[in-house]
Amino acid sequence: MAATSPSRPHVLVLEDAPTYRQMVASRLAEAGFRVSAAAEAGRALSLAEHERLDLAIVDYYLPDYPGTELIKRLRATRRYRHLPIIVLTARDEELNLEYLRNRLSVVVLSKSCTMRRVLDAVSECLAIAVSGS
Amino acid sequence: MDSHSEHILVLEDGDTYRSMVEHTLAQAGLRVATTATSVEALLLARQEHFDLVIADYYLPDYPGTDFVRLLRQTDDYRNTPVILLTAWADELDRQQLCEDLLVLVLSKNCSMQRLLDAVFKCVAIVRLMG
Repeated sequence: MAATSPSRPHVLVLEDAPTYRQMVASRLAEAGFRVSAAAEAGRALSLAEHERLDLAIVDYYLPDYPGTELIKRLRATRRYRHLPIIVLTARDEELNLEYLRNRLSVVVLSKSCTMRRVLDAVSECLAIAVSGS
Repeated sequence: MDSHSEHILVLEDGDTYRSMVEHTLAQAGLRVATTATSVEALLLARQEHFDLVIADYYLPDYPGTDFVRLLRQTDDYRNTPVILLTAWADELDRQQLCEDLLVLVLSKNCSMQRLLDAVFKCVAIVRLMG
């Protein structure tokens, strides 16, 4: 994927931990995606409002409330009703994954998985979104 | 207040909800200590004996489950009943948390009476075990 292409998919990364956020953002950028990163949900919502996102990667455990609250707000908008969303969590064993997948239509990934796996999931989600549109 | 009544530790960062739980438990004749932080909760747990712990899942620094794991590492609290309160109960795997950490997950949307019922059931178990 050409890094300079104006049509490269725009990915939002919402993650409060700076090291992990930078790691995900830089790997996505290296893979040719346009990346916007945010440390808190308010900033992420503002980005979503002012830019056109193609996919969002959202941490579950954020400082103020779960990332799922942001996802519900995005899903309530016409623009992002069907946005591909990946929930990243270090707490996947504590979460009701079936509920999250069924109720919020998200892909849940463990933070212990490799960056390669994250990149593959991003590509798969975008491919499904393109084929479904 | 009955000095022999069960002693409950409440860890909740939300001031209003913490006061509501404290008031409800105290009105029911239970002794209550409250705190807004995990660090202070662990200190209190070392200084005093608690028969039951009520902890919020969504805390500012780390999840209530991490607090429970630290608590479980101490001999005094290996089997102490813990009620985990959360406004996002549906998003948690209640069964897994019960199996892994021996916690009862309750929704913050439930009534104070429902919380009180759960507390007294846990207290009854403590008495049986004691």
